[in-house]
Amino acid sequence: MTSTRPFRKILIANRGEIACRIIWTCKEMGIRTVAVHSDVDRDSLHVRFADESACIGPAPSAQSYLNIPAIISAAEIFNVDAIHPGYGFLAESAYFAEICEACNIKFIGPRPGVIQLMGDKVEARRAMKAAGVPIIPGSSEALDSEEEAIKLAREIGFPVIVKASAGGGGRGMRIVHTEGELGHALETASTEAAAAFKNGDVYIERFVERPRHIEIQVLADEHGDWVSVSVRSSGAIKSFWKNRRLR
Amino acid sequence: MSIGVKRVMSDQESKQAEVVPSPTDQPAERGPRERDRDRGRRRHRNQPRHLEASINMNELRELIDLITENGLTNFELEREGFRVKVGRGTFVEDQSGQAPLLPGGTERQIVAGAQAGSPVQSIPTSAPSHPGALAEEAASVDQDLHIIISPIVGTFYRSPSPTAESFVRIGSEVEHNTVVCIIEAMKLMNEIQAETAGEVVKIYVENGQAVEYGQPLFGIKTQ
Repeated sequence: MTSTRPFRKILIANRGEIACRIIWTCKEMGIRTVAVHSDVDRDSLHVRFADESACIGPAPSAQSYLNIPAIISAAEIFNVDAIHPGYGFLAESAYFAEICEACNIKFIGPRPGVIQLMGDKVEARRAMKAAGVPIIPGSSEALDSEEEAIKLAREIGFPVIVKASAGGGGRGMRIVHTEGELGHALETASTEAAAAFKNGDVYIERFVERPRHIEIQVLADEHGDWVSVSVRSSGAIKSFWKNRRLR
Repeated sequence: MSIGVKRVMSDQESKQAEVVPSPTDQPAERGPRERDRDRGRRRHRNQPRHLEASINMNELRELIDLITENGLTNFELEREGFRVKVGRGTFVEDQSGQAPLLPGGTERQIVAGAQAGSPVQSIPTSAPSHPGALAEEAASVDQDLHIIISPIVGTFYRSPSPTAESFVRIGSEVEHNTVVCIIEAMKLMNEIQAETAGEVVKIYVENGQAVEYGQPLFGIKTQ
């Protein structure tokens, strides 16, 4: 489905600052924009900046910004070439990316399979290992039992961290210092994960106690060209947000 | 000081008030960024040089109020040391040629040159073109009717198929479960029911028109 024709018109499936940023970038590139909004967001800035707009539902996100049929329908009636999902909302929904593909609308983001793969931490680790990327020692599968966890933890060495495979935002994680704590940690992490992410799978890996967190951002397009954008330390940023959450 | 007032009636200029420094003070072409930098550098002085002995912000505001109250479209004022030009636009370019700006809408675009931090983008004050614009205006006057609104985004059809008769027309009687139209979304034909009893007196959309969530479709006079 690769096409070398540039986009004429893009629908932005988001709101707020990211929608504004995307729309301004589209203006610079000469691409027409369509904003979608819930009925209470009618006077939002992102709606005002777009060339065209449509109300897609009532206030609750589930019925508007996460409402896939409404967004796709809007994309069709405005005859857009592509949808930019922004971040949050449907940006990491492999399902949404798949539907876009099926409806012949370009999803500006990774392919559905890649979203799926990286959204599952156990799978992502496996893929990285297969690609020869060094990863933190840990389980290669989701854990089936406490016994399995204990055996692995002994191999890895304490402290370990229990992590939800479908997790994000620091939820579904527990740091474990001794064997005795492991059972309880597995249970609570799994319950939290099931509630937050509809998936209770957890795995363990060595816990790095005083890390230096360095990020290198890599962008690639569908033609095989890639660029590494920057190197930055997100340690300071991450601890800021983690501290906010603990309060 | 001499005061010269010129009234110029022209329709096409976008709304801007420029406080133009007189030629003796500063070079003619100074972009907004350069004026801002000057303001920064001169912050320790009382006022930017080109505003001294000219007009102050209160006077400017009064001037703008006078202009809008009297419905003037263009206005120029010249005094020793500065010149003010205010113009009011009436139509914003709109691809689909739909409804013009509401009268009150253009006032916010006045940008006095001396004001701080010219934004990269000035905020548009009109809504972009959206499917419901005309229908909303039409329906807003029909306060006493029950308005059937669209529950989804899609394409509005008045009949079950291109060759079939319309579900309803002006004057049709409807019950709660009477199908009044189809809205097609993602190739699915959704039948929309009246959900009220009464007579169809208004139809706000055309066959084949795109509709958004909440868009008025029919006006029903209820019993």
